[in-house]
Amino acid sequence: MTEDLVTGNKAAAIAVKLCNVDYIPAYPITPQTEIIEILSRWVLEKKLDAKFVMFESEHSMVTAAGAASLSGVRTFTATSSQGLLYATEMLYNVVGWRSPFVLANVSRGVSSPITLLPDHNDVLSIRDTGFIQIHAETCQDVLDSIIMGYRISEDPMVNIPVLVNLDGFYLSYTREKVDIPDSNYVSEFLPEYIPVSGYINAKNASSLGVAVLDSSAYSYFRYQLHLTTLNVLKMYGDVSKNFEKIFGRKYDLLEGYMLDDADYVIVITNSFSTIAKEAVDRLRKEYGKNVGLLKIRMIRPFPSDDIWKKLAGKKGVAVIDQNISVGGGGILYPEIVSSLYNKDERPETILSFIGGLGGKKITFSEFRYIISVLEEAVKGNPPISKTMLLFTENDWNTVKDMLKMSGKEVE
Amino acid sequence: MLRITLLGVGGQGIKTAEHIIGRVAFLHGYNVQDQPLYGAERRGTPVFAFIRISNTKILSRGYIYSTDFLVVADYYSLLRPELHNFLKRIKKGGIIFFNTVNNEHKVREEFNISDTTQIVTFDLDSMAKKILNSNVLSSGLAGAVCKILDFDLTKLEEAIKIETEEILSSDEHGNELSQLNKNIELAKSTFQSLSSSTINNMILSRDNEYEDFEDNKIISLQNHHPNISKNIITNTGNTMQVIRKGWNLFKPIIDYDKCTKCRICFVYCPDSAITIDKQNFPQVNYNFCKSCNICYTECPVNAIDMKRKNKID
Repeated sequence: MTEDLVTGNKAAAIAVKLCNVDYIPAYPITPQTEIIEILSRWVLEKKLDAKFVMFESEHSMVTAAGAASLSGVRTFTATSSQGLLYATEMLYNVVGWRSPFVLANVSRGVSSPITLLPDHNDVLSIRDTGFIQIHAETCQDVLDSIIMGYRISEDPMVNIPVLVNLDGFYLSYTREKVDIPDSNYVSEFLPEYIPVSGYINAKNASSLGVAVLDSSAYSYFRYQLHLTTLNVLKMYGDVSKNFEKIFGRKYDLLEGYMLDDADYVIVITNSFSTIAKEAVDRLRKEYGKNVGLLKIRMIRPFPSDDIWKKLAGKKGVAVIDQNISVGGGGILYPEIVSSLYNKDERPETILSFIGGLGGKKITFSEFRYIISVLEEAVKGNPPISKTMLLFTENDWNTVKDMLKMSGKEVE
Repeated sequence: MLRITLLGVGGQGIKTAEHIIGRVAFLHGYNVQDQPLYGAERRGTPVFAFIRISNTKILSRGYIYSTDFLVVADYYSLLRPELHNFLKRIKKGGIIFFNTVNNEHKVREEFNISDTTQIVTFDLDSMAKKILNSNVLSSGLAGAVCKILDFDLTKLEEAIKIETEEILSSDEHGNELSQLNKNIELAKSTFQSLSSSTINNMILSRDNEYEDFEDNKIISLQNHHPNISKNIITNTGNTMQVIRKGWNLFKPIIDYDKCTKCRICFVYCPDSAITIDKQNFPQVNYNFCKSCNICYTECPVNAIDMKRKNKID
């Protein structure tokens, strides 16, 4: 094992190398580009024995990834934002083909207006495709999740692609200490990829991804995908235990922080969890608030039962969605509410906040605001709006200046 | 935790400086988190970099709001109001490094900086010009920061080797080694020209201190008329309102005795900051020049010189 200071993007590339990936179809997009820049350089310098192919679009890139993995080669690909959206049609297809591979998505807010900074409308837009989704908080998390991703994806009982999400800028270009395991440990954890069913082999002809015009058959195959994906929640414990045994790091479907004795809980995902943890520390130490945090690491399949177990008996829960379903609200909020609705000891107060859109940092003022609204709601004074945007007076002043410069007078 | 913010412009090597400084702290055994922040990659546009150094786990990410140690590579960046705010948000007892020909007294006066903030001034541009024959400051900035933080010179050398390996090996002239040695020389010369400070103790004493924040009211947004809420610019030509003269350290000076009126500078200027006057001579509008060096590089008769600015004009 070596320790190094690397970006989230480089951590992803290192994981690909450690997993002995054979084939990398690629298409560049900020902030993902660094991943494929590093991989293409390693392939050129013969540090990585893989085939690197640049495609003309993400749509073709994902098609190639799905087809290649069915031919028995370990496949990796990566994209961001508009690229993921452009590939959406094929994302549904490769799941239906039961192609095992790993796709890294470097989160970036979607256009329009265009931005480079992260939120999760890109990755959550494709939540219904069937991709298993693991969302990373740290650069170490990125490396480890890709290794775990291959193990889950290639499991003969699964054969569904895995998406590992890392936030643009906050992880992609941020360097932190990463423990890089020796390759023999990775080989111990991740056996060689041998496709056992439904793969492309010239000697034994088969037809994959065939049309199903009969609606009963269509229902059958679609629901089988759902059941198989749900099974991942059950098998995950063994994968996680095995990972911990070999690498010494433990990753559950969810992570609690100062959670056990907390009355109030902030639910959050991805790299902003780190910022929220600092806020939890500070709210406890400086303001005496009994706050904890719940980070959701696996978003598909959705770990509803685990969420209920962690939140049962809490006084109040605030869900921070770093995304917005326009005309609806936060995307994860209703999923969490429905995980709790029919359960015993469900928290009576569950509020929805939207923050960090386009990478806007969630400041301590905003975390303090969340807790004050939550406390009031628990006392019986719920907020007027169902979905609350974390937006400060400073933010508004900045926007007002821009509106003025663009020729619009406000107030 | 020690928080460092670097301010500069594209082309100065701010990202590489951040990588070298972060690497030195990492080699010293600290927990480190560093990150550059910039828009489209282009010479002359603003670049920030943030470095967090700590003995304990770093529970923070992204933009550093108030910093302990501000490194100003481009003096004139501070003319921009949003960057000027960095000066107001220096932590108590913090330190600012200025790359400038001006002395401490002049800088304090010009930017109205109180005595509670330490100031170090150094003319790094001249040093880089002398040793590297370029305006790239990365290793020099790292040398200055490492001296002020009392970091080890041998670790600084090691960090420069690690962080420039991929950049210098891609040098088309095939003289990586001399480039590397020159960068190490620049770092050493800067390191040795400055005196160390007491700031290193801040790393140890401030481990449990949270990042400062400005108390900020959360507001509820109302729906606005589409005339306002559509993402459309209605007063076109507003570029003229955005004065960019604070974006540069150097300005192009045209020698009209040499100029052949070929208009190449006019064509190449990416900001249309060069216009043609009635006599068909090019004229530079310094309000919009970002000192990208393109006209200077493209002029076929070398009629353009990049002259160092020494005051805010």
